[in-house]
Amino acid sequence: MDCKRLERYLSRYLEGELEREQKDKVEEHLACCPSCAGKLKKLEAITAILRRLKPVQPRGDLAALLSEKVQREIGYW
Amino acid sequence: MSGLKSSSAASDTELFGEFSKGDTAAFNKIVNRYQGRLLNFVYRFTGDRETAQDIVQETFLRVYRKRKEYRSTANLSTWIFTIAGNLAKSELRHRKRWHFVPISKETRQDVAEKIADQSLGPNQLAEKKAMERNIQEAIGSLPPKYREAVILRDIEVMSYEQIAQIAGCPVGTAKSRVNRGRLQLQKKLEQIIDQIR
Ligand SMILES: [Zn+2]
Repeated sequence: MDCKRLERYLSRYLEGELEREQKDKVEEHLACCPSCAGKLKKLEAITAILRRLKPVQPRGDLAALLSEKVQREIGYW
Repeated sequence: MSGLKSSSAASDTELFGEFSKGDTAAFNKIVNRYQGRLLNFVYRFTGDRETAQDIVQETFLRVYRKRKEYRSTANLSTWIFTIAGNLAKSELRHRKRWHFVPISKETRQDVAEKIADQSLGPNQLAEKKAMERNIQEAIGSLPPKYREAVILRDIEVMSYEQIAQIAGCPVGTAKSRVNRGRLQLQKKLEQIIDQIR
């Protein structure tokens, strides 16, 4: 497996989604290719950064606003 | 209110059942259950908070109007996210340019964030803000298909099956979009990753 091909499998490897055979091939490559091993580490860091992003908070009472709109739109509610 | 046991116990299917019969309380619960996640998804996708608020509002109006079209075989959250995703993508297509939107009046949440930020020194605060901005810019620079996939997977923590349904593509394609999106982000955020590690 060459570097270009390995790139395609990195996320699935990270998420434990590869079949045994593919997983072995990926690991074989990673063991002897510091560049791809580094890329995997960074990919892991990216997912961690994204998961830690602070969620934006809704402003105002959307439910109240919407039920008002909806009631105006369809009188029989 | 009709048949619902308690707000937290009602499943999406139960809620939707009540809602499609015309129960406003059930509709409100659906809004309250999903608005935060939707806002976050659309905000990360468009990079603009005001636009995101508008799109979330429009999404729920469409959920209301299309309630008869919903098939209970589909997952409610997937259906709602699909509507929001389509609105966000069409917003992106129609937007002429990235416009600057003035920050609207402060909410309690904003004030709370400011207070929390006061524990940081001015340099740390500036650094934190710059980092957040860089991350959002990098997300915003991804091609929309990759952007959507990465946000749904890594920020909304959805399954590939759900992502595929929302994006309207095969599961294998969803997986490859997530992978490509992450690889592009990794190149764009190389410096930040090194700082954090
Ligand atoms: Zn390699």
